[in-house]
Amino acid sequence: MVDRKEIEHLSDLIKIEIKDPQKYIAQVEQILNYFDRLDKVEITTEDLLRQELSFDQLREDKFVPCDDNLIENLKKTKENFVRAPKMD
Amino acid sequence: MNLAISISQYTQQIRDGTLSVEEFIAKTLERINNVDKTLHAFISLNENAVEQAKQIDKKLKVKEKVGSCLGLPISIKDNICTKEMKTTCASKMLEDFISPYDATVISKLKIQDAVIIGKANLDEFAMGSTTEYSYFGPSRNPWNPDYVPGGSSGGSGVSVSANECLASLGSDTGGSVRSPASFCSVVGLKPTYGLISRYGLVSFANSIEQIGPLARTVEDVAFILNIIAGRDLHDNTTIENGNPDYTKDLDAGVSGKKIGIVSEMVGEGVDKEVQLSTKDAVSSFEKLGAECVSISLDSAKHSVAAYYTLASAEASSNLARFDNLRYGFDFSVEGYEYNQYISKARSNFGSEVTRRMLLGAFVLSAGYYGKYYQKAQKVRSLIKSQLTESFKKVDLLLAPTMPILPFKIGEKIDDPLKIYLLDINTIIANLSGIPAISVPFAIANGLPIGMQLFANSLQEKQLLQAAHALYKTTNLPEVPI
Repeated sequence: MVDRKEIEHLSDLIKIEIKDPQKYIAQVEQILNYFDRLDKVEITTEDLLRQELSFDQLREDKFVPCDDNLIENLKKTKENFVRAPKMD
Repeated sequence: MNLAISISQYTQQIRDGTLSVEEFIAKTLERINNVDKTLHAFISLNENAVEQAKQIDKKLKVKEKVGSCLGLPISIKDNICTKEMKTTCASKMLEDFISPYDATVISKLKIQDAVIIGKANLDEFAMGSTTEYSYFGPSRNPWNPDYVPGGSSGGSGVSVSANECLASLGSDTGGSVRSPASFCSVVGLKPTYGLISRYGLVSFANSIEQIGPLARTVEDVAFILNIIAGRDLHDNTTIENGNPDYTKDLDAGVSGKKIGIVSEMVGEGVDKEVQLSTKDAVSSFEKLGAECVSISLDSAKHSVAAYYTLASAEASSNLARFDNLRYGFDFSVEGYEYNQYISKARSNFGSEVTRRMLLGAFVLSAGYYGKYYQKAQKVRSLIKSQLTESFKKVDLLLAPTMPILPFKIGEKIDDPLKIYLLDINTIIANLSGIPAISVPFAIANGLPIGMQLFANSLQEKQLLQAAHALYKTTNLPEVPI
């Protein structure tokens, strides 16, 4: 089921360069085979767990100053900008 | 000076004036210096710990108000943000990261004058059950350094067990507080989802994880819980708990309580020694006046598959933020195209993190979503409803925390599925949000065995009372290191 092409496709999706896709094939396949048991569980309910949040739990929408200097530890900055590689 | 004391003994001695904070902190650092080369519980230490201790002593001397921790040394899992120290998540990707803010739990501890002694080792981004997946190398079990300490909060468990601090904060996504608690013979609590703010905890699986305390006694865990629990405006998933005092009425006992033994968690696949200890725990509870019955939770059989599907999916989304631009390790952007740079930088994630993200991307992809992710969500609901039914019949559930004894470092590292299956007894608490605690119960072949109790949501008080009662029946040896 899982082959080299699949791992390369997934590595594209998760944006991780994988030097040795071979290393992951057997393990990912073994784990997915284990996950297959989920498909066999008989479930009658359509209910899903969810946490509901009422509006009165939200804080008032007003400006709250932030004292933390959120950008002081940023790397690769130049004049208050974050340096990023060029986009093609 | 004895470092192997409880928090209540420590605070008593500080109040009596028979011990100074500085003495205790200095001695603790000396202890760390002596044992941590072997154990590797810490990734970094607080260089200002002695200075902070002196400040607290000064306040005590002039009778200024001092917080309830009175300078007690606590270790913090290195995925919880601290302003003055690095937060690495045991990853190359964050090896130099200093958070610009403190996590809510850290602010709360600081207000109470706790001294953060150091940042504790973990599996990279808390993904693992042995602490072997740390970029900085594994932690070792104080009961036998050839053995794993459990994980992912391995450094937390080790540091508490080896008297390198009085308490620790870990995080528990699938058992990550309870596993090291069990393997290192300390107490570890996974609270109800929403009881403790996750603000400042580096996200791995938001809908599942909780911060939890580890300490050497149940009373100490309750003490730390008092400080860190409660609603937080910075985390909208936190819930109102009415701020009960968890240390009060700990001696209430279990007389008249009904305890269900989860039959799926004590049979096949469980080590003989662990099975025997479970029987002993049952008879201890019966002697204390509780009624123990067998209870079946058949959905628990599917918990590992459901959990790893959901946690991997959430991880693949959460860890997308690590692009090495705003924070990360030294790696110049010159000469790279955007996507090429990101992928190259991200190749520094360890193999387990990469594996989980591969799995996460797979189970979320078109054509497979219904088969895996959606089904896992339904299994999650099923587990929750079976637990709700169970708690109509019993007050608490009991099972061994880990199905097997601690094993040798390296023994299972090449078989990730085997490591995932170690979480079989802990995961139901995470998927359903209920609280669970691991209590040190026995030593077999020189290695610790922990017993686990579960309670219904927000029933921490009842859970701690039962854990305290069980803990008091034990008489365990001192840690050999």
